[in-house]
Amino acid sequence: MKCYECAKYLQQYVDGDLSTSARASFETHVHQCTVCLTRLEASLSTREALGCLKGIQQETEFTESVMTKIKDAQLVSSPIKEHQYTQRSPKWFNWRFLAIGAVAAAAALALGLPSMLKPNERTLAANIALENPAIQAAFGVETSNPVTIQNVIMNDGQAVVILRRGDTTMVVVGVDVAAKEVTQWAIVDHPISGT
Amino acid sequence: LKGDALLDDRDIIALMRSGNSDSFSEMVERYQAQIRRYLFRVTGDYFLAQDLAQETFVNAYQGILKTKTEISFKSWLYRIATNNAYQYLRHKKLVTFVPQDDTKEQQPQDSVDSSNCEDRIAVEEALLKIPKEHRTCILLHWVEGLKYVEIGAILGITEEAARKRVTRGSEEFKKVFIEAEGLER
Repeated sequence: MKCYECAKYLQQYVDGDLSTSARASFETHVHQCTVCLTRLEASLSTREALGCLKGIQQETEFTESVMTKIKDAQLVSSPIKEHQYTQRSPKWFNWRFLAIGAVAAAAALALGLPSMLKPNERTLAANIALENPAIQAAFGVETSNPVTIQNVIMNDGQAVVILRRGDTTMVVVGVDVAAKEVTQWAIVDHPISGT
Repeated sequence: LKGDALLDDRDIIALMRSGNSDSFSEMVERYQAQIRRYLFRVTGDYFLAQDLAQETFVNAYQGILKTKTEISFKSWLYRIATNNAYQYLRHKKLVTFVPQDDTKEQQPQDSVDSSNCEDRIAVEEALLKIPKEHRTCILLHWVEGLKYVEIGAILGITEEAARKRVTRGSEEFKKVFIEAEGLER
């Protein structure tokens, strides 16, 4: 057995999963090779030492807490309601807030609600927004907390897509579906507080 | 859920996708101890691990309805947990964090089974002194019992790379652990 084979079969040896002949071949090599012997000793001693970290108890409260958080998150991710904005920090009552509000209100009035939309148009609009490099840059690089599509309002090829990541970042995007391009967008940081 | 003991992960996910969101609680029950333990060992902070574990399950719930992953739910959970822990460690620059004595005292004693484990604190401290990429791998392998191929899938690396990290991490751990024990004597 060569060193690379020894390294390959190390785990199986430690776990006792090697055949008798392979085990004998492994041991023969290890007795002749200090490098592989060191690796084997390190694996055995680490396994033994870390073995004492395996114990942890189940917590009933943990599951309840998670399910409560999930229910709360479901409320937050439902379509935006006016009262949700009233709890934000006063510093957000600036021109950006007003501009976004105006865009959303104008879109809602122009399009009429509920909009009579084809599902594939909504999906296309959302994809155009999600794939736009500027929008991706606005959300930053983060894989654990995905960007979600909160709402898509559209009519006659024009769409307003509302994207968000958790409770911290929301981006409102105007999309021209026919042209497949983002026409305008704006960021709302920490759109919801105290919820 | 009636008879949910017979349901495997895929059955529960199918239930969730059909609108039974409460069935996710069975998933949390099934994996919470493992994920909490893993995050505790990666971060070295019991209470932080509790928060990150909750975040992990909430992320999993949100993602499970929208994405189809090629790996098992268990591996996917570990992937989310690892990303959450890495994100925290990056932001807080706690990669070489070693818990202080008062931190250990804050840890609930009944949360960890310390039987036959006189060196537990020394092991925990040694673990936190090795790079997080290697620490993660030896925890996933030696504590969580995952195979190299599963570790590779969780971390987005090859099976061979996972094996090398476990080997390297084991060597580093042994060195740090022995040095620490030598200093105590």
